[in-house]
Amino acid sequence: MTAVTRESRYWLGSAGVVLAALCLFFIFAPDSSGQGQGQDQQAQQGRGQPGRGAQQEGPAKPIPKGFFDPGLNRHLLPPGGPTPRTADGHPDLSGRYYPNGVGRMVGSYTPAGVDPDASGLFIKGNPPQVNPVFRPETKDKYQFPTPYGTCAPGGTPTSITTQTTEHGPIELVQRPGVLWIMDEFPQAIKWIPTDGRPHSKDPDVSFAGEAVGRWEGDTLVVDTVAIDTRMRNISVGLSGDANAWTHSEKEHVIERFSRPSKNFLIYQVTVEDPVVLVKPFVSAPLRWSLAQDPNDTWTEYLCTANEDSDAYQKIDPKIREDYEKGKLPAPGGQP
Amino acid sequence: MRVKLPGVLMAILVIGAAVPVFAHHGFGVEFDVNNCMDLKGTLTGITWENPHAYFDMDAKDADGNMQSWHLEMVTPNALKRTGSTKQVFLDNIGKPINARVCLAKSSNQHRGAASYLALADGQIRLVGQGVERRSDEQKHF
Repeated sequence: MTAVTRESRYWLGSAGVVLAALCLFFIFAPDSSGQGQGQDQQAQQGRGQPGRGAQQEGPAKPIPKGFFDPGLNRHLLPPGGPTPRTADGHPDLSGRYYPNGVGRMVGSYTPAGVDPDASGLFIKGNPPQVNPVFRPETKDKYQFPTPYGTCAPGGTPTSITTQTTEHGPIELVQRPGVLWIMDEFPQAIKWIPTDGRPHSKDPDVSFAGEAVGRWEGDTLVVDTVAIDTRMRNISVGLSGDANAWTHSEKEHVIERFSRPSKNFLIYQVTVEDPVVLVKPFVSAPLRWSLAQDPNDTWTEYLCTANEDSDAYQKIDPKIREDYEKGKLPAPGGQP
Repeated sequence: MRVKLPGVLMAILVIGAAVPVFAHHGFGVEFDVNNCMDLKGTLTGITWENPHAYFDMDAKDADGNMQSWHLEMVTPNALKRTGSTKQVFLDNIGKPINARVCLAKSSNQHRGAASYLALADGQIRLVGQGVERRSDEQKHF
């Protein structure tokens, strides 16, 4: 009997694993139509497709010279073609995007020479973004740098906005009635039903919050409530952990996604919180670009403990105090 | 009392996951941008881990004594996208290395953060934050 039970468990377990794998395949497998996947010039020359396409063609090739390759684009990408669309006519937002205009990861560790107008999220010529205006009484309770050495979990909208300083990719996977948003750091997933459903009457609180999406023309409007108050707003307004702020239970986030052409995703976020803010924070439209390197693979970037904690314990207390007062660069960013 | 191993393992996992980790940090808090130097020596190891990768190297100090250094780089996801993969480091273990290093502010000696380095092929590789604000032309050994 024991043997039978053990065997049954084995087969049930195996079946479960296979079922899970099948589910993941159907969730993340590419459209047979090929819509929504970047097809840059390299792809058209037979080197495979960027983003998800590269991963479905077997192991990625080694990056020959990385950013040392003088042929790598340092300028704002061209539109790249018309907006990809799904069978129902909506824009297909699917793809892997970087928080800049050049379609690859750019930070202070990349060689100079990237066009300043293409190296970040802001679009040249747009009016400057107005930073959040806080109520005077919020200073102590809601505004303080991310505690040193901690790894704040992602959530809405930080998982996206924190890429202002993390420079990592986000990947959108759109299927009929649903959009998934994943980020390489902090490894968060946001599930957004786009089938027209309203918010729950009593939504569960979570870091991602409860999201519902609807199309307004070619723009997907994602409305999120019930965001865990431990979710730190990072780079929502001024960038970096030094300027992070928390929020009340009344926080309400509205995100707008559009894809004006194949190579670009435009993201705009509005944060309402009448307890913390004098008025809603309205971000500028932020430009993301489609990954162009066919060898670019998804990476796991986790905040694991491979640091030497002793090193920090030996830091001069004055240095730590200065950090806590916001006088030193904050963690979490690679400016 | 019988202790069920899976339960114990699960408890360890749950407790372990709940313990805050000491991870994310800022350059300016741990490392001194005003105390940077060139190191010349031999690559002895690579630690390819999140949220930062490290390499180890041996280099002689001013008195001619060999010292072992443990040096931080940026995140693995950024390194691989700048062409410096784990395999690149593994292929260069035991070979010459030059590194531009800003020392740790702590009293822990022979620790620091590397901003750029050159392996045996001499190619300048950007592996850390450009806190010294040097142009690409200024990065050489």
